[in-house]
Amino acid sequence: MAERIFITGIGIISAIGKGVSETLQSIKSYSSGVGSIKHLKTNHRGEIPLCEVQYSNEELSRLAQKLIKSTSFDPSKESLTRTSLLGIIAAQEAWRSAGSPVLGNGRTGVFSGNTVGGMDLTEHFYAEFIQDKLAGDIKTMLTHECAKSTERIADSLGATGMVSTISTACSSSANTIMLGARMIKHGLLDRAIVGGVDALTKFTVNGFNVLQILDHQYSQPFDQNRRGLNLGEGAGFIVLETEKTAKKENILAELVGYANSNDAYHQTASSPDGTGAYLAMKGAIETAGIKPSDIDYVNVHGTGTLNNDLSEGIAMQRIFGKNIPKFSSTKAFTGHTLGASGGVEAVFSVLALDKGIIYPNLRFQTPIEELGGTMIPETELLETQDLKYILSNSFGFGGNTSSLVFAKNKA
Amino acid sequence: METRAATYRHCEIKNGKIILNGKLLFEKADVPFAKFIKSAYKHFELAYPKFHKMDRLCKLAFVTANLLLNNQLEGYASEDIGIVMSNSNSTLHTDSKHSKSIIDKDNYFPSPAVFVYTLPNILVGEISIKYKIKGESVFFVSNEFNKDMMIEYSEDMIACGDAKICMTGWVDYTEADYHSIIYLIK
Amino acid sequence: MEELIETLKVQIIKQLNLEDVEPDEIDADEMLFDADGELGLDSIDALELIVLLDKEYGIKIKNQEEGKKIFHSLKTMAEFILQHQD
Repeated sequence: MAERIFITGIGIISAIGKGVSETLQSIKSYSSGVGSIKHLKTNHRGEIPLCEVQYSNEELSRLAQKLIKSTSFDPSKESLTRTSLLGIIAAQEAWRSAGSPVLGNGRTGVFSGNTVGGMDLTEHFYAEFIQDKLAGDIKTMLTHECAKSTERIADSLGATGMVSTISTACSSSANTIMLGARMIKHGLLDRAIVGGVDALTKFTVNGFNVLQILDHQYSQPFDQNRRGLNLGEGAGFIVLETEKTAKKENILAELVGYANSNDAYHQTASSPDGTGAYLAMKGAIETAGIKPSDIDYVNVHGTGTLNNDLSEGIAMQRIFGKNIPKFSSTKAFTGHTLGASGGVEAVFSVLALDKGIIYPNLRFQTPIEELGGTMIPETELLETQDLKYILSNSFGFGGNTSSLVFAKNKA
Repeated sequence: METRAATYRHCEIKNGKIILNGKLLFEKADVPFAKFIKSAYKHFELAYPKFHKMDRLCKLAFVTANLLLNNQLEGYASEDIGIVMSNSNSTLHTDSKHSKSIIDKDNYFPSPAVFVYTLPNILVGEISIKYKIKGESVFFVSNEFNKDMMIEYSEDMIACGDAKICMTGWVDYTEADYHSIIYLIK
Repeated sequence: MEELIETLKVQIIKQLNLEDVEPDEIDADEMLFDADGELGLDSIDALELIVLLDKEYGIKIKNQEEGKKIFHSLKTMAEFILQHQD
């Protein structure tokens, strides 16, 4: 039970780049991934900006094929959804950066958080299919479930341990990180590749649009004049390992705290007092065995909606009092990648610890009045920071709230 | 494990029957699900107007949870109650309803009240809202109900102090069939 | 106006799945989104009413703040529809 959990690998793909180095480059040049719609076929083109991964499905498929070394998995023979392709690309990078360990002994788990599954292919198939029952390839439907993309990711890695998918909306992948850590602590696994993936679909764009929480301009998280969120897509995975298996030279950071709770307020809205967020942050800091004042940076959930940022800000004030640590929302770069966001932001947190950097909260101008006008996120990229502990928040519909604490590698 | 699972209070709904701890509480066979669940709601006088706005998956979970809980949470702090749920079809029925509303350009009216139910953990949220449950929760999607693992997972949450009591189970709904079974792990 | 209010009652009950509510039970001047009100409507219902206006009357509302005023009561809703219909 006293097992420490080390992070030995990270992998990411989002609107700001494929891979850790492209991502860092975009951040250093303050270039956001938000823009007009190029790939998604929707009526909302030109009206709603999105954070799309810049590659078409064909290009992603070629990229994935180049990466896969497993002999039992031939992507050219599979019908792969955009969700699976993004997941494979990020998970492969994470695995490589962990030193490409052999995964076939049943002791490595693969857990992925996901909300839309293969909806990107299904919705195109379905539109034709209801007109003509012989149109399209019916096998596409086998790729529809959320769990299918996780199985594809595990197959591509040749991992034979436990494979599972968590679907708790926007906290999904933060919860896979908790699950992986617990399985390792209990000796059930030596290693877990955890995180999540979601691709943009008409399904999500239309749903969020009728909830009227999409910003028709570029989003401004934690700003007084914020108008909503920009949807994004992508994947982020990290490799968790036990003290025994982790090679010293691969260790990037340590996962020391995690907690999940429920806001128990509304299906989609956060409570006015930020109860769920408060309980999650408090729990994560407690499991880490540290004090709130030990936190050096908070990677906030910060979607840019009126409701989230106010509720999260209130919860932060409840936890930290007047001494709010440095914080920023990286969703201004990547958009809200939904089920992937906890994984994407775990990668950001690990990178921040490893490189000593804090990310700018792009487009921030005016602090939120209801929060006393004092909660001002970082707006410049900060380098050479001495960071020991980072808190990462992921809150989802259904009131599901999760927080993680990452620590600088002291090994 | 079968015997250990059976020692926990549990409520099951399938084939038009509601069964608590193996005892038949309510039966209305041969009616469609919507009718069945509404008559159960009326029969047990659940009196929660929001029930009617839920999708079918949530209605199934809600009735199961209500009959299972029935004052069982008294004395537990809201942060100490956990929920561990699973199913295999996620929210397929509501997903297709939402999809249909955005396919036809001439009759294009996506509904917010439908969209909110396209996530399986909304059913966890609905139960949490009703019972003010603020503890840890999770929703697994798997081919079959892995009862042993789910119960062990919940027992472990309790052993580690992450919860003092936990609702653990399976709630699945498709056009063709439905099944719910929830255990109360202490 | 009276006729429109009666039609709206039926449409709202259907759109919002208000089971066990009869059209006669909704008062035209009653606040629709009163926290202690009998209808128990929430923010999702407000969004549904925006969809209803679009679907049944071809009126688009882009902003929720605007919606709050329009959906004050059945009467304000009916007045808004009469003003904005072609």
